[in-house]
Amino acid sequence: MLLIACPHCGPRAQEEFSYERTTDSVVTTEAAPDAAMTALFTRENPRGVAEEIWRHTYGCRGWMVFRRDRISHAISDIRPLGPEPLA
Amino acid sequence: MNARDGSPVRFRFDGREYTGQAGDTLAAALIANGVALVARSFKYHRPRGIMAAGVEEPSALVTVGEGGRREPNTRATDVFLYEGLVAESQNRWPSLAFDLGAINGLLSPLIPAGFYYKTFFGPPKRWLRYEHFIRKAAGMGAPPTAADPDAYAHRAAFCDVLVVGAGPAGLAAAVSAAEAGRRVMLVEQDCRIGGALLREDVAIDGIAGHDWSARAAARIRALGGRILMRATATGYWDHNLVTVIERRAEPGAVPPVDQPAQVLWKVRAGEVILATGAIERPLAFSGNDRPGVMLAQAARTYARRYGVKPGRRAVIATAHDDGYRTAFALADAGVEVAAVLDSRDNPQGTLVAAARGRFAVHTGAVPLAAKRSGDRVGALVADLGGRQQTFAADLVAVSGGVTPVVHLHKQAGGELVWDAGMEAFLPGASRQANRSIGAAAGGHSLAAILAESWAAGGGPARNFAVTDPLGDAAAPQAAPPPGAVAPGKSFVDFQNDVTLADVDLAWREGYRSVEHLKRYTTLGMATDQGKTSNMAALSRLAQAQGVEIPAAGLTTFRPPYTPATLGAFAGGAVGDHAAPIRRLPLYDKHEALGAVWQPVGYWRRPRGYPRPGEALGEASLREARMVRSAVGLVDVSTLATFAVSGPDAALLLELVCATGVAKLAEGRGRYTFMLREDGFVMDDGTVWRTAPARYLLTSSTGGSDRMAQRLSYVRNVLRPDLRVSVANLQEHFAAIAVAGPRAADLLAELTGAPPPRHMSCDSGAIGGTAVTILAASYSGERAFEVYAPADAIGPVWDALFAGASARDGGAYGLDAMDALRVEKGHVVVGAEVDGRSTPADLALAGMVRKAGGFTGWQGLTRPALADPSGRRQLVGLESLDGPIPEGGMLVPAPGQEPQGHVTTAAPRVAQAGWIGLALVVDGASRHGDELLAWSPTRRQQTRVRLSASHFYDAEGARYRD
Amino acid sequence: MPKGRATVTDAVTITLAPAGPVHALELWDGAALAPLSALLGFALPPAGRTAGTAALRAIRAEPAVWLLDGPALDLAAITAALGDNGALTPVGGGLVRIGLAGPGWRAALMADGLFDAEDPAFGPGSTAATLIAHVGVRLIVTAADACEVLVAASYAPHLHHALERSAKMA
Repeated sequence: MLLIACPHCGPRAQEEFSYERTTDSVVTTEAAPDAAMTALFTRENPRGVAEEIWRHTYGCRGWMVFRRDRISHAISDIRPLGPEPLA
Repeated sequence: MNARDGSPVRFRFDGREYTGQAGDTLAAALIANGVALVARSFKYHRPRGIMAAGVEEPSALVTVGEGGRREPNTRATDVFLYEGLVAESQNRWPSLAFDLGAINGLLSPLIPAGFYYKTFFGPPKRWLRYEHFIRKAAGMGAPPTAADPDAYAHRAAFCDVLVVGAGPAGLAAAVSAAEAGRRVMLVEQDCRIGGALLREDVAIDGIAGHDWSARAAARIRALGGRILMRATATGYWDHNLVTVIERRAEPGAVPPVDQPAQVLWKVRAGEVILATGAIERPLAFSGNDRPGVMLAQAARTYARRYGVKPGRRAVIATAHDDGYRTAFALADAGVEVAAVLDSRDNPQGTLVAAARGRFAVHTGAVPLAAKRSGDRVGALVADLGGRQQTFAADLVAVSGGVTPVVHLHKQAGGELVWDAGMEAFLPGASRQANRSIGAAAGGHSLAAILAESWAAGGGPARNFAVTDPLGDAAAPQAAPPPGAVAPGKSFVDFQNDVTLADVDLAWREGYRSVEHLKRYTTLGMATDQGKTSNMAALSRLAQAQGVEIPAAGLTTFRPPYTPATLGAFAGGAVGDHAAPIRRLPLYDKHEALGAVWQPVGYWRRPRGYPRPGEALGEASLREARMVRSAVGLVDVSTLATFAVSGPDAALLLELVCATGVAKLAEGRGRYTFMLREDGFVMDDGTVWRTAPARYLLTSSTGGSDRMAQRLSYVRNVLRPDLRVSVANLQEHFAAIAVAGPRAADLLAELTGAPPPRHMSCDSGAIGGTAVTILAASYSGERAFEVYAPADAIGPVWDALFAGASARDGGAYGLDAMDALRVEKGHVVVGAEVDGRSTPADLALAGMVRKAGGFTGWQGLTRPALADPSGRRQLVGLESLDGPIPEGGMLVPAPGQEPQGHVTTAAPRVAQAGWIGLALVVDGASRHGDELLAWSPTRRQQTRVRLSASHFYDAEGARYRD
Repeated sequence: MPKGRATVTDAVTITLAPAGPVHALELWDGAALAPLSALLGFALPPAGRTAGTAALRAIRAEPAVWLLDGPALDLAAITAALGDNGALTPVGGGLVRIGLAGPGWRAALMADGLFDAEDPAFGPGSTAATLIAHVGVRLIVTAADACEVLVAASYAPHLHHALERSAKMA
């Protein structure tokens, strides 16, 4: 089980988080149909580092993105996603 | 150095009562009582005794405990005596001493390695015949048939340093880390601190080894460290998570009141220090499995730690210095040492020199065969440099080198390096934050181990003064490969009965990879996972291949390190608490009305309220008719409910919902549904504008977590710029749906105001509680959903129930609700909305916003979704016979290709008969067709006619007052 | 729901009661921070912290959400100070407050837990959301020997059972 350093809460157990998707499969409502379907169905699945979106669903409910090495599970470059942070 | 406190403990083995001493393992107590024959082997039913003194024991497996606490395959060396312990030998019939299965040993030429696989060839009947015989004859202990009566628990722990193993290395590291101010946790699988110090006659800084250990433990505790005894680190997972199983009750013992038998610790450590020691290797010779053949360190342990003599006359066969220590320990304990056989030609050093002065030391000497006397070894035939000699002995203490315990290091992803001197794999580079120390890292000099371990703990450098009357031993060495094997069985894997000959046979039959060898011979696949056998097999394989051992490869180290009780994994999640149960705010009211509860996810919801003598089906039909004729109340508190507030609230809702929201007037509501990004319908519900910039969104119970996640994703990831707030109010609100022709009248009376018209909302008060009233209908009748804070819903229910009762109404449950909605033709998430249906399939296409801009609009443009032909579409089903099987397939005739399936079935409410909803290929244009609703699994079939999905008030006249 | 029930062991006393009024305050930008601080008498706390007193308390719950509770909460004044810079939503109807008092409160939270409640740095004024026995909870440390657990009411009986069990076993 991974230990994920939530940008808001610090290191927490993976069970508190939910995986959303990789950043290259984000589809906005403005995307053209072809681009949207490509992002959803024909995306990279690297044996190595991927940029992933996760949510601290059972913690602060905040969103984040980080790079995860899918071989070693090393996590790096973690940063929050969402509205401009408040104090 | 006998640590037993002398207090007697009574126990039974195979029905006979014995007395041991507190602190004994079962193995030590059996030895003390002169019991040598303890078990029968897995395949050949060979007599087996005690070979080791720790968890690596391959032979002495027994069943401990009774009833639901029976624990089969327990190592006699890994259970500590308690009053009343009951143990039984396994795999024997009719008795341990006279075992008919031992004939397998005579038949062994017929059951070689790979026997199972060989029986797979040829006619299947042959395997079936063999299987019956194999299952009966080969085996381990029987599992308990009664439920485990004990509690188990899971517990999290965090520390800076987790030290695994409380021998000298682990203790030094743990004290050092604690002195350095780090949060320390130390786990030890034994019931005593000290590890190897418990079997050695040494002093550290002038203090006897076992006392030094006790003082170290006290120091760790004084500094706030946590020490778990009888706790085995079983698994090493990602990001330095280590699972530790702590036994609070010995196998078969009754735990203390309110205490779990075992606790599964999930330890997240900043750093893990592995001080897991090393396991001694047996030697290969004919009859090396006989009772009385024992690992040399184990023999020493029994003599020193437990004060019992493992034999009367011993021969020590060793490949390195360490075996000599056993000669001294046994002699000191009063065991006659007949000879020390050293496989080296010219051993040197203080230890060897001291031994030569006291024992008959033979160099270049290797054992050939253990001869039996009864069930026990009686003599050892040895090759003394070309000359054979037979030594009378009832104990053969063997040491073929040591194998560092690298399991956890390897589980953590670490590399191994080959040490040619020790002929052992040592921990190499770690992938996680862990390091190995002591014997686990190949160390052998106690002074060096202590100094290095202290440094590993993070304390300032220091040295330890070690007093060892025998002096330092040379580095461990492995035994030379066995030459010509004497006739008879020479075991490699004692627990799975794999011999050297089996390894050789596998090689001859073409098994080159160690992974194949393992599976073909089952070597290393027993409950001990090859702790004493893997290196011997690898060595043999490498010898056959003509390569060094590292080139022969290594099998995977898998958790758990030692066998684990299934209850430990379940923890407290058993019985009623296997999963959380979510309780409705109105639980007590429903219970008082005699509700029959229906699991809905984690929730329990009233399925119906049968009266005395009334079947549930009858009750549900009565309840549904009550709604059609008068008024009914149903608890809809589980619905997902969200408050969406702010200037951009409508914008957010239109990103999530496929229907129009922006034009909704204040005080009005609409049915809505949401799509997945691939275009299929995800969920449905209603949206209400309760204030100029505030909306209430409801959606399905089962989809509530998914909807919360979707709303948050769209708001935070896709549109962080919006000025909008989404609050999940599923728990905050309780809700009661009030439905029926008298519902409006009831609401008017209780609120003192005209109720909102259909699809409008209003606020008011009922029973003194402020409520929000949404005029929505799911039943086909004029209906309202009354929302109030969950902690204030009680009086609202009471007022509504009293009013309903006065109008010939009452409560209704899920079954009645389902019958009503099927008759009205409403779809439900999970049945008709099954993740494969588009809005058009569900006849909802007219509500989809043509301009797009909502989640999933792109998916709808895909040809397979956009083209209606060939798609499964929503239809109604009218039964031409009896009840319609829910989930049944719709076929022209039994056995033909299905054209659709029954999504929901129910009795008609308003009249007699049965109806249903279904998804049928091109169903929208097939009204009037007849098909068969066929369920081979339920053995039901019913002729049905396809129809429109509305069976009741298609015009919606009943929504008007 | 057993209200006000108490379980007592040597190490910890467990009590259970409805949470009463609790409001979620969500801010869309920082414009209202100063007026809200002035009104509350304290700054809205950062992640992992609470501020205020038992009479009026703010708990940082999410990156842009605080929970406000306490008898001194003046909803009209807060709504006015908030202006168009955020939303205030009542959420307390479905919350239960489980009180843990006594030296064993930290250990009681570790059974079936994931969060390091035994970390000495997790002291009074700290808060964290996590899972215990598969149930989402918010922990609020109210004193050196007391902690409050906010939990969804539907899950409260299950969690209460798990905490009772763990308190006895600790």
